[in-house]
Amino acid sequence: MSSFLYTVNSFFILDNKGERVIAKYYSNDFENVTKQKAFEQKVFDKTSKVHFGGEITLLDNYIIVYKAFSNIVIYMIGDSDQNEVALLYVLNSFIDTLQNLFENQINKRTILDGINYTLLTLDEIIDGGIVLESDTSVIVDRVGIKLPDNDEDELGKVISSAKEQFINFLK
Amino acid sequence: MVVKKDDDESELVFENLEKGQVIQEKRAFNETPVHPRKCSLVISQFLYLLSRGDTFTTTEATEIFFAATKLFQSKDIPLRRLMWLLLKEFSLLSQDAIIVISSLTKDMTNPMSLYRANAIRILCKITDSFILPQIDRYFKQSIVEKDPHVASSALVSSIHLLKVSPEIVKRWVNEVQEAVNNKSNMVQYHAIALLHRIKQHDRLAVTKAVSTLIKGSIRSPYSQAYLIRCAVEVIEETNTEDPVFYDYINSCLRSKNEMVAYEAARSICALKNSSKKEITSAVSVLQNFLGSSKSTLKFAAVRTLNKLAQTNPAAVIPCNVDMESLITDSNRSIATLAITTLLKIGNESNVERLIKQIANFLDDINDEFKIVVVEAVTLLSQKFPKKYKHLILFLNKILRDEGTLQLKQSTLDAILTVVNNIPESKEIALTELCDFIEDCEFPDLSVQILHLLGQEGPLTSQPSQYIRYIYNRVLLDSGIIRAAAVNSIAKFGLLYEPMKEKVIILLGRCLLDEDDEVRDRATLYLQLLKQNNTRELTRLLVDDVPVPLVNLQKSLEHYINDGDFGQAFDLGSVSTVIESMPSPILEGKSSKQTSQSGGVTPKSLSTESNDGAPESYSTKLAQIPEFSTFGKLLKSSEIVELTENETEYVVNCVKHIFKEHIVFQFNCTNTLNYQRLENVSVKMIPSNPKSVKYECSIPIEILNFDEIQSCFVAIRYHPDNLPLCNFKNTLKFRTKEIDPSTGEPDDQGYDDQYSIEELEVSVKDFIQRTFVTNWKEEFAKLPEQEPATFALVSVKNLNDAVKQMISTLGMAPAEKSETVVPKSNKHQLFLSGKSLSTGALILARARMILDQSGLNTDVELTVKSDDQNLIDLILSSF
Repeated sequence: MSSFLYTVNSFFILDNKGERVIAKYYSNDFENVTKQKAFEQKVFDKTSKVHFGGEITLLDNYIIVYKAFSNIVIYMIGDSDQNEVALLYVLNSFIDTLQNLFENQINKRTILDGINYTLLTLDEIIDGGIVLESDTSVIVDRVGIKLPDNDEDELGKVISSAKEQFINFLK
Repeated sequence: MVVKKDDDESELVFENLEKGQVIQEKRAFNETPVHPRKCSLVISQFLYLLSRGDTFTTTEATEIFFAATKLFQSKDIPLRRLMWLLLKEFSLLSQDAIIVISSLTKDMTNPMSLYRANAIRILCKITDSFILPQIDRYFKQSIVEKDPHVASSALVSSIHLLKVSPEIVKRWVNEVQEAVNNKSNMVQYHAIALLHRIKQHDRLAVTKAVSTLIKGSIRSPYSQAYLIRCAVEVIEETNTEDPVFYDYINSCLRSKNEMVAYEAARSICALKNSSKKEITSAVSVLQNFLGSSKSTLKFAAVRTLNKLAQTNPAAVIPCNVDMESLITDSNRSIATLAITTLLKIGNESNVERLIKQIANFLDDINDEFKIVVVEAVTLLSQKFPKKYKHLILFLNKILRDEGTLQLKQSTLDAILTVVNNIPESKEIALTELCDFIEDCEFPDLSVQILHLLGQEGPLTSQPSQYIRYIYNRVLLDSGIIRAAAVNSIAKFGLLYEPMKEKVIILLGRCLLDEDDEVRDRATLYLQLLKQNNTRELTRLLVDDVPVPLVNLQKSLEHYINDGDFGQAFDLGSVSTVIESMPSPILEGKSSKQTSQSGGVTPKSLSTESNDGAPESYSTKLAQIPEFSTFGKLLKSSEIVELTENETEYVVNCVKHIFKEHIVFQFNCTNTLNYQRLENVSVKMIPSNPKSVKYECSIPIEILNFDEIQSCFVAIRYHPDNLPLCNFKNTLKFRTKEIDPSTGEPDDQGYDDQYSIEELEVSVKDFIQRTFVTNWKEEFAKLPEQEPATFALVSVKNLNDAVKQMISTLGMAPAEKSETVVPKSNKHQLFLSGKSLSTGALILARARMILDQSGLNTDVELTVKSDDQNLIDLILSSF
């Protein structure tokens, strides 16, 4: 049995024509982009046949869990003997985080316009195929961390004003 | 938060992004002061290009990487976060990425955990065995940090580093041990995983660590799921009797977390020694999942139960009802798994009901899925031959419903399989098929069915009932079907004497057909029938082509491709060697597995032989210099399994017979993922050493996990003294443990051997199946021989007796004599073959009769040939 640790084999988002929007491969199963895209096309064909209504399927030696949105489909791929429930959890973490960051609007435009958030979310959830974090609120925090613009002084000000308030509170 | 209005342009900006243009924009990184917003956009664009699949040259990547390092001066957090990601992604593409170490170590001292967490993840990417010792304190201190972001990042990075510098990472074991106690669930999980991997080579240490951990209070779901996998590993590798491991897995069954409960359940189902009670609890967890609203849970459960049904169908029976309701699940993968599981656990008493139930929802499912059902039903026919009537009717319903040619072809194939395997099903199948061709829209299928009717119809109890349907085709259908119908009618005339006159009349009516082919066929057959030329008719209508069709096809394709038509095609040039032909039904299933292994070296003679070229054995053997002097390959045997399928090393053998040599090809599979085998060979000890001379042995150099490769042993023999004997076989090899963290084998290794089953070389290995056009005539021509009589003990029916005779003698049945008339108690079997060494024809006639007790079959065997020596050898094999 393959290791539980390397939960995710690959990840991709395809548009409603089956074209890649973004992808990330954590294994060397597909040696080049052409082969990756051929695989993506196969996955798309199989899932589009059932109008993306399935949530999960098997293809070749992979488990595929997926979720479709208005004009994109998000796929999470694991080895065929992987724990599919674990794989679903990862997909859900990713989707929930994006829902949160994009205010429940997941589609091709929000994914691309917020590409920095999309890719950072992925980076915070999966590291080399290993699940790094699963708690959505933690992930949102690590991705969307938003402090006053480009100035450490501002941060300092915030902290010192907080300190002041705290001291005032104590008084 | 990002809030964007509908703005078509912004989408276009990203979709039509050009790499060259973005590379130009990296100059923004050099501006002072840094413009965070502008730089963030450029980084996002680079990251997007990368994840879209654009490739960067090393020069481009290096330039981008170095430009981005300028941004270390910025304190803008969102920009920093993107910069880190860019550095991480481009570090592998860029040269000299190591240059950023000092900036990163500075980040490691930043009070904000975000800095430290991200910096350590990049450090992991750019470091190597030389650098790591200088910065390993950063890892050690981060692993024990309380902050989960930093600790997890450090631990996961260390797991990756274990592949690069295992020795150094192993020194951090105390820190990792401490991290197991971190309050964060994820940190605990990553620490357990790293700890387990550090100790992986030391089974004792793993066993100890795992047993300590599972006794502790590990509550995080990921840790639990991981520990279940560890416990399974310990049980499988040490065969421990300690109940603590089973108990732990069992206790996880009750977890509220579905991932954990499922991991426990599937592990129990997969373990060989799970108790009945444990399996029952696991199945009941899965049963709950079957009723879940989540597709993934249903899928997980039914997939596991499907697997369990293979080894332990009884355990799955409690889920019958739940699974039946999944037959109509909107997720086709789930429905398919449910059906195939149900069919696996079906028994004689409920299979009828099951078939009916599936028939009810046939209208709702697509053709592709119906094919899966058809295949499953075909398998069922082998399991429950008595239910043939229901199965044939079911298949026929699919055949008649709307559907694609592909579906109908699969269904027709399935019916043919059933008819071939269960002779009793013939009449009902033929009747149904007669009805079907009345309005069949696919000429291909009609032609095949007409062929079948002609072949089988005359041998049934009432041949006359079919002729009307066949003649209807002549009246109503297109040319190609009419031609097939004419053939079919002619066969009735040949094979069923009472109908000959009728057939002559019917053929007479076809003489004025507008289609040349139909007319020609009718004229020819009519003429031959009138002349009573049975021999020629048999040759034309009944006899098989004297070579395997696959081989004929290949040879013809070669002939056409060569484009040299100066010489006519010579049928004699077609190879008669039949290569391994796995059952078509099983093949579909196993091909999945073989595609996974993939690692077959080009040199090896793979048993999969996907290319299927009939000459492939001979061409491949000819490439091996040691065998080049052996001459022409005369025959290759079927594959003989020498081990069980699930042993550590799976070995099977193909015997290649040459004029004075035999090459034994041992196909070996290494199924142990922690071992690499080197110098693999088979030692063979003959029971009769005088008749063989050892020639040479060619070992497999390296056999990795999941690979199939072949080693060879060649022996020499004298054609006058065939080496009919048994060989005791031992697999010998040097085994090396694989370090899972690096994938590299250890240096030493040790020699080992493994007993495999005996292999017999018998007279049939020296006989080639041949096809003679008129067996009876040839048989009469050969000098008379005394028959031998003997009994096939405990062979209780003639079909089995026929199969046994054919397989023992390795000869081809002639005159359709392999088909036993149902319910008769005696039978004559005609066989033909050819001596490999002398080319002499061998014909055998076996008269078989069930003895009075009905428990054994008495056989009178007459073997005729010009090669007296061979006759004696054949008779002595009984």
